[in-house]
Amino acid sequence: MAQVAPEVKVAEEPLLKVRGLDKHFGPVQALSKVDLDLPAGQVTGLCGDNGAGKSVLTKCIAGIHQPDAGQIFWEGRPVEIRSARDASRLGIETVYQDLALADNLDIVQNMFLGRERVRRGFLDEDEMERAAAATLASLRVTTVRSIRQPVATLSGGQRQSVAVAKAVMWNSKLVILDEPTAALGVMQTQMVLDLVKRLRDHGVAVMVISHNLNDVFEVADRIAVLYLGRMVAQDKASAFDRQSVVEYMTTGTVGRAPVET
Amino acid sequence: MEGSRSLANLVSRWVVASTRLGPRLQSALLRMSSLAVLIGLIIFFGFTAPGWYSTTTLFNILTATSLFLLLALGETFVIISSGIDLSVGSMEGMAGVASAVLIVHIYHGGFGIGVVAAGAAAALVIGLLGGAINGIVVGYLGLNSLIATLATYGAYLGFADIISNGFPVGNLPPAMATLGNGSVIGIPFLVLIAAAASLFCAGLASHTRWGRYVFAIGANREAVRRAGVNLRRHTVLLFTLSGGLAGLAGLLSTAKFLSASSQAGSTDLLIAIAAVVIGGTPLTGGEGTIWGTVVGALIITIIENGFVEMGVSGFWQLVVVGIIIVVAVYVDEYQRKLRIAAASASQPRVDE
Repeated sequence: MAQVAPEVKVAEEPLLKVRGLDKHFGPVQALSKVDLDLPAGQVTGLCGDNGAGKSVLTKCIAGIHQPDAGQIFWEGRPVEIRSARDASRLGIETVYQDLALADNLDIVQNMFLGRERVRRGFLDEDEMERAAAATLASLRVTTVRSIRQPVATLSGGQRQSVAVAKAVMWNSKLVILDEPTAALGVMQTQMVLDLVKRLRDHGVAVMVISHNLNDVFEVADRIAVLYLGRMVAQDKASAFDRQSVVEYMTTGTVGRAPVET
Repeated sequence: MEGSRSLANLVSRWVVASTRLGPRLQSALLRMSSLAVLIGLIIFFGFTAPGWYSTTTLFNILTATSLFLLLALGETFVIISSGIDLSVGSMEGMAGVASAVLIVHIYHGGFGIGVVAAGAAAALVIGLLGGAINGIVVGYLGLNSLIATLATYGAYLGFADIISNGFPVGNLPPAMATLGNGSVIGIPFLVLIAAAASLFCAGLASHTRWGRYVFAIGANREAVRRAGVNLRRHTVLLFTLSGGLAGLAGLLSTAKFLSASSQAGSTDLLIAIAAVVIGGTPLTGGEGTIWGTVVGALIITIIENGFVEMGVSGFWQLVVVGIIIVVAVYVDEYQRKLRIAAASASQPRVDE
């Protein structure tokens, strides 16, 4: 190596950076001057009470809503995400609460829905089955009996796992999970949280939106709290405890005297 | 009540027994109820109608099936996507009348192959166009398919009569008679065309992206939309396919009877839907097979043909088809429930 690489201190540029995001619907200010960092290989828990703006922020990142002001940076470059298509072209996939699975189709068919592999005009089932099996194996989603069974026959946790696997199938760099453990039992929740950790270990940036602080503290490396459309706290998960997150969520600040009731 | 319970009992025992087999064999067996009915009918009429087993009977049945089967094939796709196309019968009539009027207009003696080819093209184009209009109304204007095709059902019937002034169109060239009643190596053209259309549709259903989306739309339209599929274009193509097949049926019906009338397809609509339903495609969409529809269509024709051979009044055919529809759908629904229950139960569960 003749040439010495210049000693650039690569300041861990987050994969996705949101700066000063504003969004209002009519007179309602849904987001105001929101900053958010989503680094690769880390799980960020997004917390907030109902109406705090979690889903509006998510939809701005996923291309469903267009922000009124502010900028989104992807890998350091400013980007405009005008549609879900744009988002997935960048490598952003969102798993909504309703999962968007077709119950009658099997696991492979669901994972490839809209992006089927085709050879000479015909579906290449073998190739899709191989790729789906490889993705599921890499995420260690192994409890399903057969990847050719319709998703109608799967349990809630398995369905969530299939939806997540579908999202990461396309070399996604950022996966947003909207309430992934809502309506799941204890064991199923554990299964999904383990899956989230494996995504992180694969170097994927994950944002988990959740009401359940147990889940957030179990998987999140970082925590961000929204309160009435403002980002009131954002730091390493170790900088929070349950009490402080709840205070941020309910009052937008921390350290005030407890409210007398 | 008693009867339905013992039928349910029988079906559930059948399902339970089949779960002990491999999953592939199991699902194959479960889907064969209409095939079992078909085979049962073939055996039954073999005993009760002397001399029924013959190639003449076979080709009579296949020929009689081929016309409404074309409608049923297109209808299968529409129903799997959880829509319905009520206009196929009048599109058949409209396309048949239009092609016959054109043929009569440009025919100046001789065998008339070229003239018939022009008429065939006209029938197809009219069917495709009629279907595309249905698709645009459903896909772009967002009307429910039942309402949209109810509207065009009447409109196309009206167009057929406008074109022909309400009279049947006859005096067709010999080439038309050959198309309708001729054969190669003993197999009628009509049967060959219907078989080719069935193969084409079966391939479309299970081996193409477009076919996959038909099933996915029937189960979860929103999931398909979010997957980035152009649903409007898909809907237009769906109804255009149905219309094209109806246009083809119109041409062949004109060729077979050497006469075209707006009423040619009036009974075919309901028979086509019956074939789809007997073949195991639920009106709720998301499921179904082309082969099921072919079997369903054959069941209907065999009942008609067998009754005639037995000397039973043809009126009974409608009654028996009605009974078979009810029983077939009941058994299908019951199986579907049990199949999902069985698959979920045999699942190694990790949850509560």
